[in-house]
Amino acid sequence: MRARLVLAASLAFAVAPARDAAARAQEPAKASEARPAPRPSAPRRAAAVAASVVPGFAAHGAGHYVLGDPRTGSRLLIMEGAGLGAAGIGGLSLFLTGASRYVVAPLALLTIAGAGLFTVSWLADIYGTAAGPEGTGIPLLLAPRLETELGYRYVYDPQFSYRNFAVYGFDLRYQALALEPSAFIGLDDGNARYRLLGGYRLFGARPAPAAPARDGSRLDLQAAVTHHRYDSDGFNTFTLEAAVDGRIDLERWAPALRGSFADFGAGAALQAYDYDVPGLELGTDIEQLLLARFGFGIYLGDPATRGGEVVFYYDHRHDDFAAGLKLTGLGSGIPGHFGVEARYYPMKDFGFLLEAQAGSAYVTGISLLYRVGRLR
Amino acid sequence: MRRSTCGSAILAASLLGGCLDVAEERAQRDLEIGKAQAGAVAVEVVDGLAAVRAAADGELLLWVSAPAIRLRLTPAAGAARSLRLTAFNVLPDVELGAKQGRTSVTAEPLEGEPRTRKRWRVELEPGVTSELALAPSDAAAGGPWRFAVLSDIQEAVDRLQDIHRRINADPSIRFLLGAGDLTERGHADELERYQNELRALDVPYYTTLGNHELGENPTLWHDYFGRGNFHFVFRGVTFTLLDSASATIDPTAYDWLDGWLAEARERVHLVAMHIPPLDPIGVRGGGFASKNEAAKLLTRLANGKVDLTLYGHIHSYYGFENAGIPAHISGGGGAIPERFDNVGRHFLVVDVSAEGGVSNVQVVEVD
Repeated sequence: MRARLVLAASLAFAVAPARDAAARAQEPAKASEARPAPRPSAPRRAAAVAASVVPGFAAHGAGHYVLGDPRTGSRLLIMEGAGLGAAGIGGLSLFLTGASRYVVAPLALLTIAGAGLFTVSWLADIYGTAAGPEGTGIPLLLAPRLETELGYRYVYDPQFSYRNFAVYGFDLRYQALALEPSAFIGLDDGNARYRLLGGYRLFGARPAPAAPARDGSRLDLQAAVTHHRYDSDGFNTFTLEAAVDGRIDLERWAPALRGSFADFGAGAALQAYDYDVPGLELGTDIEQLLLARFGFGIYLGDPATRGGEVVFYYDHRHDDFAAGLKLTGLGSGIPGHFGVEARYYPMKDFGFLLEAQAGSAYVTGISLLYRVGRLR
Repeated sequence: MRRSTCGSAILAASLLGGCLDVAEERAQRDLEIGKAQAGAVAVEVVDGLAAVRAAADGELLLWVSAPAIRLRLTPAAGAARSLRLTAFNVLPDVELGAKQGRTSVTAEPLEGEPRTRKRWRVELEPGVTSELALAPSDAAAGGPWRFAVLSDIQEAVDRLQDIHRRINADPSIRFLLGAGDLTERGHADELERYQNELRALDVPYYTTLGNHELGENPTLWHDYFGRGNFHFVFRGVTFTLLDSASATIDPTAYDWLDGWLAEARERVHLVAMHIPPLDPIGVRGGGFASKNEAAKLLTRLANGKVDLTLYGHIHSYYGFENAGIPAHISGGGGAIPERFDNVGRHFLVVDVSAEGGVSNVQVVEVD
């Protein structure tokens, strides 16, 4: 019964946060009061970290139980159960329906969401036991008005000859609106990807003069158009997509998880494949694409002065450079790719981004970041 | 473009310990198919179009993957000249002929065996390579003819018999073409069982493998049924079968494909593989792991003027076009079907000729 109340309260917390932003900014202190008072000893913390890995991989929250925080432990266990349940129901339904065209999209989303909850609850257990009550950092409560990116990516895909890309982009924000153009330009091949993303932030950090957000949680509606040219390979793609993208600071789920967050996203896309074969009119193939993403991340320091964040994620996309994982066996072709992205600002205006992805290709790189706008 | 992938893996690889060349081992195994030593006789099946199932002194057993194949047999100087050649999975009207004057071939009866199994006694000239052709008399003829397509049997092997009866009931079908997933996990006992089921089929089954064949040992399939990537020509029509069982095609096989496409550019050319490059229901993700690779492959096929693409993997029937090439997904062998689509077990019948191309693709419902 208690667990059910906790789950209901937490879900309500997560899906209905549209309260007054100024009032919300006052609330973190209340959350911290709920954290267990006694500090565990170093050996106990070490034991808790170990327990979060084994048997924590199977029983999420084990680390917090060992740490003496059964409340957080039980919440992580609930999250794991919900994840296993969703993934199990979704996966079994996919199996029984033969991945029918009529039900595959919602069932795949349910399965991915379940996998996300499972992954996040496990990583959160490890994080919560290792990071300590203060956490590793805090989020930005005000978004920069402008953040620009200039970088390099190395893409190793055995099926393509391109390897080196220059990356340009910026994220321009005005109130709840965002505009994010970006470009990947091949340096050693006729390959280029141009993307324009527009977003509307339903809640979360906005640029000044908006009031600071309560925490790093956010929910965005996004639409994007992408044109990817494979000139050397004789085709190009044009993609239109719409998605919901968000983040929940896990402190909302359990105060001991302060400094960590879960990312999520879901949507759909239409893709047009245009083939350039001399002398032939081939028409255009139209494909749909399921967009789904989850991630677990942590804040590092204070990103307004010196800090950032790192996030480990799964992205179900099969159409970008990393595309889907190559597996041998029953799962061939189904999963998307994994990645890790770290953003860090050693000074207020300048920072850097490190990225690595593993799917059908390996993608890694670094970007220089520059931002403008009041952050406090 | 070919490079050592895992060896040059960058930091991201450690995320999963993953590897990009998941089909490389199978492509390398393809290169070994059809080569053996039968006692003192060196055996080479040209283009690897048959798996050597047994080779001993004076004995050679082949599982044939194409309607017409060529063998090169080289006995060592002073070695035994006589070889008993048994061929499984051949056209019922196939004949073995020798091109060399001093090599003789005599058909031997194979009592109690299916029509698709034949045996010959071959007398070889020591120290000289003899080339033999195993083909039906109409292998190079023109005119219309017919073949069938069946894929994705998996756990439904117990219900395979009525499909075979339906295929046997149409004497105009020359052979059965497969796009993989004959078994549930590719275990040796499943492959044995499938081979036994084929005894009831009056025509040979030429097939590549599917992702369900990769469960125990990714190359066990090759020991039984031969190459995953291969091509052959019959009655002026080129068939290319590709191993897309890992939702990708190995770069080595792409190199072969480029040659096969160039060779067949002016001929009718049909391409079959298990996992389709693009799933017509894109949100399902039943296609290649990388849609970019899929588009690159389709561009290649279109550039090579391929006339028809045939796929399995999805347990239903879809007729569509990819890169302007007519495409058919047929996964009707009985594996857990796609629900709510009113498509049951089925196979395809394809009418084709070297002169007129593909004239008809018909879905034959079994249930």
